[in-house]
Amino acid sequence: MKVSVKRILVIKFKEIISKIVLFFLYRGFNIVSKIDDEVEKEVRSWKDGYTIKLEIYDNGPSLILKKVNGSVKKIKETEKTDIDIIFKSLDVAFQVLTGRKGISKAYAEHRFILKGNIIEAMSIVRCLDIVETYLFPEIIAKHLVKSIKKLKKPRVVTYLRVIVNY
Amino acid sequence: MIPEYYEFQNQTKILSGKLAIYNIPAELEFFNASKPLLISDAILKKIGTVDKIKDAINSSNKIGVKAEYTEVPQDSDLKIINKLANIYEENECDSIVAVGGGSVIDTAKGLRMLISQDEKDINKLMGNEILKYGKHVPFIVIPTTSGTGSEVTLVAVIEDKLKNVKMEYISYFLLPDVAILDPEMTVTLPAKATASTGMDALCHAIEAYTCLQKNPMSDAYAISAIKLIKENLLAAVKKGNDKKVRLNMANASLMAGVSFSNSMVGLAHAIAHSLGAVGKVPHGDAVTIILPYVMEYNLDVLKDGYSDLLLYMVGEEEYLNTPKNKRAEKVIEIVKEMIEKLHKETKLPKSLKDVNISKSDFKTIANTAINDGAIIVNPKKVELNDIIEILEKAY
Repeated sequence: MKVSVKRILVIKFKEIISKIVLFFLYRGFNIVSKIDDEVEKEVRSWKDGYTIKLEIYDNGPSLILKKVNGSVKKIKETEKTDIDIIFKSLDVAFQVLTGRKGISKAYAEHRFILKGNIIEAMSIVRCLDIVETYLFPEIIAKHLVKSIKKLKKPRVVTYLRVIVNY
Repeated sequence: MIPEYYEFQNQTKILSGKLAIYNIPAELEFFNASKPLLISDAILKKIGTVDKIKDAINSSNKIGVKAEYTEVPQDSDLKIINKLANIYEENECDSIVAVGGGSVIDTAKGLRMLISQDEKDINKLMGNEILKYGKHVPFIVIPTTSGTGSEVTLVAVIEDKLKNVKMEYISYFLLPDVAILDPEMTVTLPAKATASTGMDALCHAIEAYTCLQKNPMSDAYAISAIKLIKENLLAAVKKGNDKKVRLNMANASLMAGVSFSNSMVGLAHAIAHSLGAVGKVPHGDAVTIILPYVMEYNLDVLKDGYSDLLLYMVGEEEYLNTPKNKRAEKVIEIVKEMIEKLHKETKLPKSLKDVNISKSDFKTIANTAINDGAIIVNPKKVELNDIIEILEKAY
């Protein structure tokens, strides 16, 4: 199929940025689950081996998280996922990953497919909301979540820990 | 206001009015179907509703009910769906006709999903929009209550009683092909059930008009539903035999169904689902009890949305006579008045005490509600303590 050069460049750009954001989202998730008791409690409620996949339709960038020995790890491949969130397009996933659309809004707009138990997925949505609050500056975060929670640690501490992954 | 983005779909053909059930054979023939499996429940069998539908179908020379199952329990059950799949196959049926309330319709949706997706394990189909277009199984629905709106919704909730889990399925491919609103089908509905299911429809419309996914199409359906419910619910309770009023309520319920199928429902439904799961409170009763308190909770973020609804509840004159800053509160007041009137007429429960919910259950109810899929589209953030406070007020 013929696609314009401009579109190819846009796709490449969005794919690269999405991959970078997904990488930092994993680190952010991991760090926030250690400093925020709500996220820690949510993760604790998942059974060991619980696997969540965030992916973008048509073999786009993806992130697979698995609970191993009580904490969340990034894995490369999995045969079985408990919850699979598949964004219907790279363009919308890009909006969500770059803080221009919240996860609840994306769900409301049917922007992703959700494979698995919807009831269990609510825990993941709550976690993502909190992680977004830590990772994005307040001016952006307030448009992504319904209300901004009081952070347990200043954002700058989270940023530093995400960068050094500790 | 047009939202930044929205999706809307309702392909279900609607047949509304007198003698509508007698069009079932013609509708089946449009789909080249002639051997439907008829699904219903024991009460509808007992009161003759099922036989009326059978007569309507069998009076055709070309089409006849191939098999029937009239033992659908109060909650749709995975075991029954698997049983129905065997009945469907053994009898070489080619279509489904469902007659009943929410559980019958959800059961039929589950069966259709299995056949159409050619899948034995329904667990594999669980989720939001994961189904692909499968084999087309003609599917006609005849609701016998005016409340669930399930005849036009993309949702099915099915219980796995062995594992004690409720599974939610959301897909546009769950929408029935035809919905038949025949006043004959709801005239036998007892007054209390009429009140309870009617309040469920009202809650669908109010939540659809105010949830995150609202859009101009769903708003139009929600507004029409609210107006019809306000004008007809009490009359349907008092004069159950009035077919005009019954048809108005059936249409209102369907419109609310179309609306929430596209805009979804919020916190009131999340708590009501939980009250059903934990305390076995009938869904309509749970929604009735909880709705005003959820509206009060959401009021600060939904003042404009609720204010809009006043016009459709009281008409132009009273709307204009109500100060702008009092309109939202007035809508909540009207909902409370409706509940009060229905309580007087039918003893419809209006508090959690009335349905034997104990305060010691609040934590379990809140924990279940917070994980309900409806929470995500509620416009205001909800935490466990918020739900407990709402339950306290509704006690």
